[in-house]
Amino acid sequence: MSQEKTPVTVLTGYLGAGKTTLLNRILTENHGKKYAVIVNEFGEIGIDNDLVVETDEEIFEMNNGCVCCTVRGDLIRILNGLMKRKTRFDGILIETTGLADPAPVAQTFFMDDDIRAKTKLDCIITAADGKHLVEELKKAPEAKTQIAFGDIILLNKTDLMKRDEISSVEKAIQKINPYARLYHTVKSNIGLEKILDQKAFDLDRIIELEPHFLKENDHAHHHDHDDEVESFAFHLAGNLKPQIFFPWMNSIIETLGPDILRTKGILSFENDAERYVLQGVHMMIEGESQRPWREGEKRESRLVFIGRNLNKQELETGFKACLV
Amino acid sequence: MSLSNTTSKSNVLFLQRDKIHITDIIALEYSKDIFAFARGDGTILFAGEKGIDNEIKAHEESLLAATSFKDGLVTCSDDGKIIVTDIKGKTTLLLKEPGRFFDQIASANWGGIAASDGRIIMVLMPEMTVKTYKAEGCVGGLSFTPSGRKLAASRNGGASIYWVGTERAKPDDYVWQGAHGPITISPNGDFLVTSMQENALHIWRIDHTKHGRMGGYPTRIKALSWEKKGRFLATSGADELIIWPFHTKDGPIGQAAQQIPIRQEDFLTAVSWHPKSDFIATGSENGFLHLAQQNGEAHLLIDNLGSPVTALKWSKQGRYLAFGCDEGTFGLIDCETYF
Repeated sequence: MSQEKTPVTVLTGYLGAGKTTLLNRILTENHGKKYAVIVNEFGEIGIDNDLVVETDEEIFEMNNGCVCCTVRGDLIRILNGLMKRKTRFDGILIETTGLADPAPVAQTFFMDDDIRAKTKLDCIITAADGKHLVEELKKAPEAKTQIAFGDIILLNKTDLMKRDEISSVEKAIQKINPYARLYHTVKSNIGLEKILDQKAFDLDRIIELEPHFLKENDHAHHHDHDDEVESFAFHLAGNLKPQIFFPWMNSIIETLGPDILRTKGILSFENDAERYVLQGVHMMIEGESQRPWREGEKRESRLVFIGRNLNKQELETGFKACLV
Repeated sequence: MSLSNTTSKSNVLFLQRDKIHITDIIALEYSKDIFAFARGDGTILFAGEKGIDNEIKAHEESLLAATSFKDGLVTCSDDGKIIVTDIKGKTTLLLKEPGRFFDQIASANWGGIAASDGRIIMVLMPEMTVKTYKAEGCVGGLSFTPSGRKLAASRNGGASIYWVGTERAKPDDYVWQGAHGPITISPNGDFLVTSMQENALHIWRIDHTKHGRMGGYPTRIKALSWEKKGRFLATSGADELIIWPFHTKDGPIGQAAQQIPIRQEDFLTAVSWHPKSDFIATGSENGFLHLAQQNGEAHLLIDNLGSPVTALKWSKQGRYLAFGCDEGTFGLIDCETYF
């Protein structure tokens, strides 16, 4: 009789983007829930009911020959401690520092068996300062990575922005990560039902891989410039050969793992009545059969990569070669 | 001695299901058959063959680590408190550091106590002064050396040994990349052993002449237990009981482990070497308890406790075996008939 897994929400975003404001909003809202909050520094958070744990982000590489397999050692320690309590928390909120890469946080939930058994990564929320994001994306690779990882992006300060300003920020975000849900917010003001309990990392929830805003053909122009974070979506009608796809996918994540930030896919394999879904962070990837293809449903495969300096042509050619 | 065919359940003295995580079990000193069950909600239960006779609320909400101390035990938690509970159930607050998430604890026979929160290690001296050390990485385990004069701490990037009795500031470092958890020192003081996040042990000779990695485990090694004379170390982490030899100069470095099959595809989470014999009690992920003998036999004690076994402890004389699980089932077995 295992208890339900405790959902974990990660709040990320560049310096001054509104993370702490968002955290306070979640904690002070009258929701009757009890949260454990893991922060880098006790800020201006005043809470009675909840537990606040201060921690130094401690990142280490797993000794498995993969430089991108980094996890947060301090989180493993704290989460395992929290799971010993009699009454578990309704949720756990992790606030990262403004310069943090969200990957080690996400990967911690793939790599530690005890944490996997009792908690689940629910959603990565990226707060962004609408006024400064375009500048930050130009100069700060951290800001780009945070946008790339977001399942939900809160664009703050939109009340202070002109319409064309908003649209250029949206374009910049969309180029990196069109799959995130984007909300225009003022001081991170948003209904909690839109950000908590999202199950963004559940394979079950991979229903469609359509960009959440703007149209696909509206895709921004390509720049050739170091440290470019972009997303590519490939769409193939028909079935794939699993004996070609899986070795190809493995070789892709082995060689490009450090550059691939997130992967998501809905795949149709020959001689398989079920839809196959996969998702991953860097080199860690998981997949499973999700549900039978419905009668009349078009058999097709979609694969999305969000990453740095990825060669679109190469990925596309490789993926196409998996077709029956 | 050999294993008899006695059926298991008749020897269970009590078994309770409370849904409260068992953090650890302490076989109390000076009182051969009493155990303290330290639980995740902050309570401590004292129990012996007649069942539970005292329940103490030591910490408000949670209890993260426990170890033996004088005639009782000392515990720590995320409330920043270090609390001693004696055999009569009297609690004494030794240290209160609001905001500290103390999750590792160790004690020495001379009365010293060490607890850690992340990189911070605090050592309480018997005269109640506190020494604070900052480790080079997040601490995953604490253990005093057999002499009690030094404190070993596993951490991110290896382990360090601190001379707590002296003013010597710099620890002796043992470096190996990765996160190190549970730590133990061989009873003869020659070897330092840590369990790593990557399902491997790392073993150093204390004199720095040799070190080695013992891999091949399918899961993390949560329990390490020495044979009474320190010649062997039993470890969890596989569906076999893995025993490493330590009676030669370099210990298990370059040697093969002994593997005793227990229960297929049910990985061990707890092991406890009998204090007087070559029997080893094991507990698994699916809540099965076995009694294995070093000659390779294994006998089922109890099946399906419902969640992973988190603690397993023999009474000082070796007659009783106390067990506790992640989701709260705990109890006591009289093992006399097995010997």
